[in-house]
Amino acid sequence: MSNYWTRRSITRRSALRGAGVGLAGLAGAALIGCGSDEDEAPPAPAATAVATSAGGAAATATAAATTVSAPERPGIPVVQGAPKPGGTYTTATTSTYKQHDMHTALGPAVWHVIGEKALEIDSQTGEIQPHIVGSYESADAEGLEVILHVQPGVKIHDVAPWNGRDFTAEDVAWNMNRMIGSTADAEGIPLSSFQRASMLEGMDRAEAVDDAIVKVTMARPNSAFFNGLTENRMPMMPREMVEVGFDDPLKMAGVGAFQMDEFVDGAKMTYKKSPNYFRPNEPYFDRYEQLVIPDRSATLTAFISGQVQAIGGLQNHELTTLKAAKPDANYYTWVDSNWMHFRPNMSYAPFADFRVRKAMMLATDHAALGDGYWGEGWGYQAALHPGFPEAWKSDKVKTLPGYNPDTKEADRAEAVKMMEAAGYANGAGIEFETLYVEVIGDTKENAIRFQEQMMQVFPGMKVTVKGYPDLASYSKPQAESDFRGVSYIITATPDIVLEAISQFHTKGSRNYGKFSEPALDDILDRAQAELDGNARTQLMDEFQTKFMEEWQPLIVFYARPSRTMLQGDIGGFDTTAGTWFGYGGLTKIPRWYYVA
Amino acid sequence: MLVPTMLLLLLLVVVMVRLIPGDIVDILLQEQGGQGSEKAKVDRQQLEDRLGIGSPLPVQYVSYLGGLLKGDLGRSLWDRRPVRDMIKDRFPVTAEVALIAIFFSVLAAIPVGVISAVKQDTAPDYLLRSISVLGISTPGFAIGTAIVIFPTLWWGWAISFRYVSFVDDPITHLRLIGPPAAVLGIQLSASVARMTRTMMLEVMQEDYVRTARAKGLTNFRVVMRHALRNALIPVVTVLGLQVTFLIGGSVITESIFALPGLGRLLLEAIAERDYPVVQGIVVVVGLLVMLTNLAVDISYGFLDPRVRYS
Repeated sequence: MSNYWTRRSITRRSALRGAGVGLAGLAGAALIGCGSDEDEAPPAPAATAVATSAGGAAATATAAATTVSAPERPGIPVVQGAPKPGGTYTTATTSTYKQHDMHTALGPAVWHVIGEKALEIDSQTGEIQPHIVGSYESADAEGLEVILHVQPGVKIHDVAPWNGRDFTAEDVAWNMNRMIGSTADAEGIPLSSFQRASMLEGMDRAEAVDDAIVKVTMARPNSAFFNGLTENRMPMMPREMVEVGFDDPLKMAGVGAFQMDEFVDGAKMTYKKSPNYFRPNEPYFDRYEQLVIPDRSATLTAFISGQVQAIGGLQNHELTTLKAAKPDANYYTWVDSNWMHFRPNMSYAPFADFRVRKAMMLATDHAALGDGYWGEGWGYQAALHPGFPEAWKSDKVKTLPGYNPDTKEADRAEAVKMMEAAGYANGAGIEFETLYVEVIGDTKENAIRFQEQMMQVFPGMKVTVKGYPDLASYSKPQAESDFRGVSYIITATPDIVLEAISQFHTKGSRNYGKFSEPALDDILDRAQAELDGNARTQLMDEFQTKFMEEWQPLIVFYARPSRTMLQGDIGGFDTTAGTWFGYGGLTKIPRWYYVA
Repeated sequence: MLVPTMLLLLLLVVVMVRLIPGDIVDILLQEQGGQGSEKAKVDRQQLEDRLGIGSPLPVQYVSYLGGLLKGDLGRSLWDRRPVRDMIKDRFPVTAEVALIAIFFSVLAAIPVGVISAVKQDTAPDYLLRSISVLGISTPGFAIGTAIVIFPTLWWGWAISFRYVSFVDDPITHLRLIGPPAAVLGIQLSASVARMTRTMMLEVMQEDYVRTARAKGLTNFRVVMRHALRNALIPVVTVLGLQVTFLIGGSVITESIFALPGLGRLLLEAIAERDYPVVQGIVVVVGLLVMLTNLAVDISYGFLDPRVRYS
């Protein structure tokens, strides 16, 4: 019986081996869950031996890299060829990073390159992997005391004032305490600036027992605690960073595979290989460059001309152009951790009625939404992202009422009856505006398609849409719940319970629609405190069932596809591609390489 | 007039930038739902105070003015860098592109305008006028994007997106600056060419031009020495006024060609609601425009002997 608190440390190799079957299921589910009828993986070229993604015996180097689609993971080609150490890996970014304090940064920062997280997450399975913390254990049965073992040999870059010293338990403890805002008053920083505090919910304090052991004292048990440490924005910093200051990135140093080399505001950020990186044989590249290329056409051009090695977030028309212009590049696609939805505000009386929400959900044509914008590659999602090990997978979700394309007519008929039973025959009396963000294209198209669908199924309903030009203008009405409906995107946190709490719990930080249901809160509170893995999974299964049958706090449209192309001579990407890939895979770059 | 104009400009920008929906605090708190609660109000106030945007607008305006008098343009709300330093880093790129664009446009536009005027209502005139209209009517972003992407697709040639400063590598730097300067120059030269043609046609009807021809001077000498010099006076005005266009155009060209200039900094600052950066750039650009206009006015005295300032 698995137990989150007594799980022994796992190696990367064993995790990948064990994940093989689950991977096949997940990939198959993602494939079946796709809205498109074109479910076939691209045909493999002439058969050659596939290099094992676990770093096994490499295939014999050939004059030119050849690719074979790994049969277990359609959409994730494996590049043959032995790693050739050296070279520069270059990507495009839209601007140089502005927030250099990782504990208060909203998004990517240099720390994603120069730093590392305490624990990592397997991109494919969502399972926790050791990293700076090599293993962890519970010191008591109640889960109120946790011990973290810091790996030996984790060294800070050879930059003053650290000069290559060890990253110790004291550093880990300092990071964790600061992440929850323990130093907010002392530093004069508002507590709410510490964006990641909810990832370590329940933690009271962390203390270094010695150089290798951190003792964490919990105010209350939190079964999501370790997953919280794997969240995208949890890279750790040396404890002296507050004194060093966060003004000049060139003065910053971490334990990452790369260290700062240049920071030219508005132009580029470059990093050089750290000779004392704690993972053996990594990184392969000598340098990593981020070139600032704000314009999308320019980014495409940079990729076609080989100035950058990767390009992500590909739209359909861009794929067409790139596949024609770069036939030797490799295309990777998987179901992303981002999911699209319509969130109703419970303060609007009709939306407070479950029957109305459920009717709207049954009437939604999810396939039309996903296919309409993306074509293929998106995934069906019920309550929670299918990438969570405990969540319902896309193949199951696709069979459910409301999602199943084959029963859409019947579902809509049922929706009409339900709406009438709620007192809004044909939607009459329901009038709402859906907000969206212009700069996130699918929020707009989803809003418009959703509008069309609702007004088609419920002719008496009045639905309008309103676009905001950027996130700054959109954030305020959403955060203040000043809306009736929003069409938006959420990036899933790396734990199912954390995610559910933030989105749906009464106290949830992203429960913008103000949904409040005591039974839901109760299940999630119990799941958060439940240290037994199986029991926790059962609770979340109960949650997902009730979500669909009794609550329906929002309408999930779909889980987004991730689409990335890499130059044909980049290998190792397949080992890191998957739902929990993170911000452009910044923390995964050390595992990629040029092939010989 | 400079000081009152600047004060008014500053007031306008301080007010207008704050009228844009959403501010930095909204961005920072976007993931902290429950913004209607008392805690949220406290959070917001704390953040606003820390960032210096919590006080009433008149207070912020006066405080900013006070800083300006000391040469302090404030600090970025995001990374706390002095705005003065940010502008100092970015301005040379924009200025360089603008100057090269002006040089290019003068080099191209004046001969085009002259030829078009001299060959009025002939095939060369029609052709050149059509090209001018095309240059004016084609948006800069379309020209820029075309320059960026089509050579890559058609011929496998691409401009470089790896910015290099003039100090580090002058040749590569000029290669980077050339295409965006050409985009701005094309648009500028189109309007300058049309203005040159119009003024040339007007000037060539003047009595002194007829007199010059009657004296037996060659057509070249009549056009270049007598007509062009007088026709250039309003053209210089147009060029001077184009500073605003060049700054505005730089927003687009710097984004497309990935140049770390002032235009892009302004665009980013507006999107991020970085008030001090927006204010600082507007102050600098406003000053630049006024100084440019002053220089244009002074130049009349050299171009036209009839104009002398006491």
